[in-house]
Amino acid sequence: MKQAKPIALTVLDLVTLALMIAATAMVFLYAPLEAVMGQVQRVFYFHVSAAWVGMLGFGAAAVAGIAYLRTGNMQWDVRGMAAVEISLVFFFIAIVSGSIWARPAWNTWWTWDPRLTTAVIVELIYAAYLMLRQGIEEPERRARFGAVYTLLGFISVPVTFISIRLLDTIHPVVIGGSGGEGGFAMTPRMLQTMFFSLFTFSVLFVDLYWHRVRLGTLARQVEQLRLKLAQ
Amino acid sequence: MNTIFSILFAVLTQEGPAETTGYMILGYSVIFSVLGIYLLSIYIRNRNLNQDANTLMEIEEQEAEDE
Amino acid sequence: MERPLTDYQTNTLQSETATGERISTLERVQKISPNLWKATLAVVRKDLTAELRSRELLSAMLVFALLVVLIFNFALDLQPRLRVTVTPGVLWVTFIFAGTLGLNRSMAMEKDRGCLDGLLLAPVDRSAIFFGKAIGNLIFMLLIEVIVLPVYSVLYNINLFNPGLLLVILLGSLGYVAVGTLLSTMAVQTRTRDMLLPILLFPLTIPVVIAAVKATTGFLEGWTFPEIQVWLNLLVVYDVIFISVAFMFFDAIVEE
Repeated sequence: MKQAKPIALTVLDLVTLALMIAATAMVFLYAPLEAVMGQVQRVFYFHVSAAWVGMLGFGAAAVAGIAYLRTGNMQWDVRGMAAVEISLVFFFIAIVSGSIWARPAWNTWWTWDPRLTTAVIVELIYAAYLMLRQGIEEPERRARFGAVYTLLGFISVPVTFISIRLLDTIHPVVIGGSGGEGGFAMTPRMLQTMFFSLFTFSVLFVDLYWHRVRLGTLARQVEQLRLKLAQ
Repeated sequence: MNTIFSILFAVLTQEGPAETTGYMILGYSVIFSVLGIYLLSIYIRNRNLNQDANTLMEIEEQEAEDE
Repeated sequence: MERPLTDYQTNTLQSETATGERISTLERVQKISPNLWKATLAVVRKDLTAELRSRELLSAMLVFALLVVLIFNFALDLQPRLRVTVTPGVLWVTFIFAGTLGLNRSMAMEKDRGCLDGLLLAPVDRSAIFFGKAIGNLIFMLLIEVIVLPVYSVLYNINLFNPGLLLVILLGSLGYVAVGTLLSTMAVQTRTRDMLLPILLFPLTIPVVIAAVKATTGFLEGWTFPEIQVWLNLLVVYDVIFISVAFMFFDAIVEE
């Protein structure tokens, strides 16, 4: 029952590691210093990439949810859970790094920016999802309820984002200082760094996802073995 | 006198990048430590599950022998 | 409590046409639609009859809603000057909390008395059960709102009798109850039960809260219609999406 680690996964691990080192080097050595915000702007590259991975996981969880409800194959439950967990971790990274960036840029830790706020709501949906799963013993029902809840979340989050956006445009949030926009013109080097980071994090997502699905599969096998022995 | 004025002007109009290295370091240490903790958690859970699997398989083998 | 249920069961048993031939979904919907409507009404009637006898749900919701208003009064120190800006928020928090209480209770009662299983065993389309429960919950929530509004008006000397406001309350409660009915059906089937519903429900209903509070503010402060319309549209969109989605998923939640 113990599967040997596939060679492809080992290769992917190494590629991911190399890419991460390269991306980090690019962020610190290749990307120019931003003219107004200074060093803290470098957080931007990994902040955006982390949010991107969060969204990938969010989408993957919804796909797994649909697939589970259609097929009833428990492996899709494992995949959905893996996607939710990775998305949870990366949205957390995006939120905290965004907050750290907001402090010097807008002079406040929290800006109620629609994107950040929506990310927080997604985290709360994930928390609810985990609690829901924890409250159900029966694996099949746990999978079914989990799939339904991820899909409900997937449908409600865009609506939530739009509502917060509308709230923002109609009653603009006052952010300290006149330079409230905090936007900056991206030089070619900055763009290159950003796209390289996005690519790296996408590969990182695939790598982590693979590991997490293997972990989930192993957990399910152990669970089955335990049930078999208990009889 | 001139230099003092130019420094004052630079400070008042915030010419040049702001000094935000501390926040940058804080940001990246948070990013890397959260990633590290997550990797560690996957590793530990994997190890524990493997141990569980081995123990359970041993029990299974023993039960098979007893019969 | 037993009589209305058996009534309902025999009703639906008799009206069920037993056709063995294979029919398309559309035909099926057309064939069952009168039955569906009848069965839905039967579920609603069952809930209302049960409630008329015990009144435990409505009284709990009502007392709870009034207590929330009272607590807000002291927590926010509702001065005349502040009232208009704070009122929409206070009202919606009250409705939503009281609504959660009702949703939880109405499903938990079904579960505890084994009525849910009885309903599911009845040879009737599951959607009738969903719509029946949802309409029942909506009626309870609207009743509470209809009582809280005049009380609030009297207490704070604000005129809340505004047809627009009633529309907002209807639209907001509709979307809230649609998702709430689905999630409470989920929540009663877990170990943590009552605790879980608000945690599951609130993050999904944030658009309702935002739009309903904004539209309520609009009507109370006399905004122009286009300004309010944005929020009304949002409420309608949310309602349409979530009524259909909740209806779609209900089968997956009750299937055993």
